[in-house]
Amino acid sequence: MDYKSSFGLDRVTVHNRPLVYLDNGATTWMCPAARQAIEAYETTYRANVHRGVHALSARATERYEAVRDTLTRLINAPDRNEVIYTPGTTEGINLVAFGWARRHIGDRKVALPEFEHHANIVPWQRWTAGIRPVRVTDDGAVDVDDWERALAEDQVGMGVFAHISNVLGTVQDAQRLCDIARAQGKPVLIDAAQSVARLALDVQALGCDWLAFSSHKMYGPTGAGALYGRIERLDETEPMLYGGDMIERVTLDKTTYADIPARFEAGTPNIAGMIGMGAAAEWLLTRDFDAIRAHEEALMARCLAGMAKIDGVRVLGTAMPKLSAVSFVVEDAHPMDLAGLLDFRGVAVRSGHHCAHPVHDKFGIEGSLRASFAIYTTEEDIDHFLDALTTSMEKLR
Amino acid sequence: MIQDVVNEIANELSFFDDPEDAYAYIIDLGKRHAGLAPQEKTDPYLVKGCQSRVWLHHHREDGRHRFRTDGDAFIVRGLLALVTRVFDDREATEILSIGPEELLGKVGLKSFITPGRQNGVRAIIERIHAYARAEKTVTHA
Repeated sequence: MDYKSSFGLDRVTVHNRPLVYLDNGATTWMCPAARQAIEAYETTYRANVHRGVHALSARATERYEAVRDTLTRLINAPDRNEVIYTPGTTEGINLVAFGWARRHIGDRKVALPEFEHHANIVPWQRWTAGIRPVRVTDDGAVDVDDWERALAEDQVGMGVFAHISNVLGTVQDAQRLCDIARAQGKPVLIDAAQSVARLALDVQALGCDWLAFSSHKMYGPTGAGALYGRIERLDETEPMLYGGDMIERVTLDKTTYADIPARFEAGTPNIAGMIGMGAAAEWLLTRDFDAIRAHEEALMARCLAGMAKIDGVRVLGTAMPKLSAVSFVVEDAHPMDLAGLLDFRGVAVRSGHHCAHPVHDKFGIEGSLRASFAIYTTEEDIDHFLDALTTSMEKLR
Repeated sequence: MIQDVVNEIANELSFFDDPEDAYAYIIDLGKRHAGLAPQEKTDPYLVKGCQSRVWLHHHREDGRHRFRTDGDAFIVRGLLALVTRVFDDREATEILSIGPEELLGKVGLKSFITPGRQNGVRAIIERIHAYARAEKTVTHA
């Protein structure tokens, strides 16, 4: 299937060149189904949800709530009420840190691999006794023995990890990491932002307590996302936001809260965003995840082989499996200079620290470049990127 | 005159039809920019509001303001080379006569650097202006 054309990416030019979009780790483009669902909501049944008895509000509510069923299927959650709508992965993690960890393990630490995204570090620093860093090997894999040691420590209250590192692209053996945490009786949260669109997720098989993901990294709109939480944990969780939609009865003296999930969804939500996310999830559910993975593995192999032939390029984290993103540095070249030159060749890559200072500290570098792939990325895109990289490096010599 | 230098730079950059060439030219300026010694690149001299690290040293010499700068990336060093060429070795009144938009808009830097870097250029010029304004405040106090 020609995804590039159906997503509309073949019609975009930058600096008078065809766009080669390799910043999918930051955000993917929207699939046509998501665009159409948003358009339909905005033009044929736009109304607020959970309010009013008129037909339009009922229609909007029905479609908006149906997304919960789709997301439940996407991650194989046992119960639709365990899927909380959020504006994205970051807020999902913050809800767990503030609403659960602060109250239940606030005097203990959170174990997490050194390569985590800031969104999966800072909330834990803020609301618990701090971080117990779990060693990442020089080739970019989680040191599973150290994870096991960490989860066994009394001072550690829970474990969290990114299913796929947004910097290194390394894929964690999520099952094993969850099993280890469970064996210690410690809850575990998975940041699935980078994995939800490329690996079939099953929270029941994994046995995780929470799993957070975002719409805009799975071919849906920005500002929408979801948090799966095991019902016992959600029962123990204090809401982070208070207001409309999350209450049962308000008097000026006392308020009782609505049931889960509404308890965690205060205020008028991003209705169009969630409807778009639902459409993207429906679309993803009709894809073959094995084929998605095979496609990305082929792109990764081609990219790594090409980079290995260019003198002065150093890939960060060569541990396999590696999907979705490859970060690298170039000898004597600043990532920003290279990204700027690549941009003139039509190639969009990320430069900087990719919201993960600690992993860059670990590799002893200030920043890196990151090329990240998606379902519509082609082998020609990779070749074009490698050519542009070679040319840009020459310009900096 | 400070305005002459600004016009000179605008003129130099106008030779490039292709923005990539102008970008490469600024990178080249960055490679040749004198910069600072490693021990001078310390936190108190960092300019806040830049995407990458930028250091600015200032001192007064015979009533004039002297600026020396450095940055991580060549493109940043190149932009700093231009900024330094405009503002270094000037009196406060001259410095305050040229604002960031003069360089970004009139000179045309805006057309080939990203909004993030444009903000960096604004941040450094504002810091340079602050030194010039501080002198004027003291003088007229």
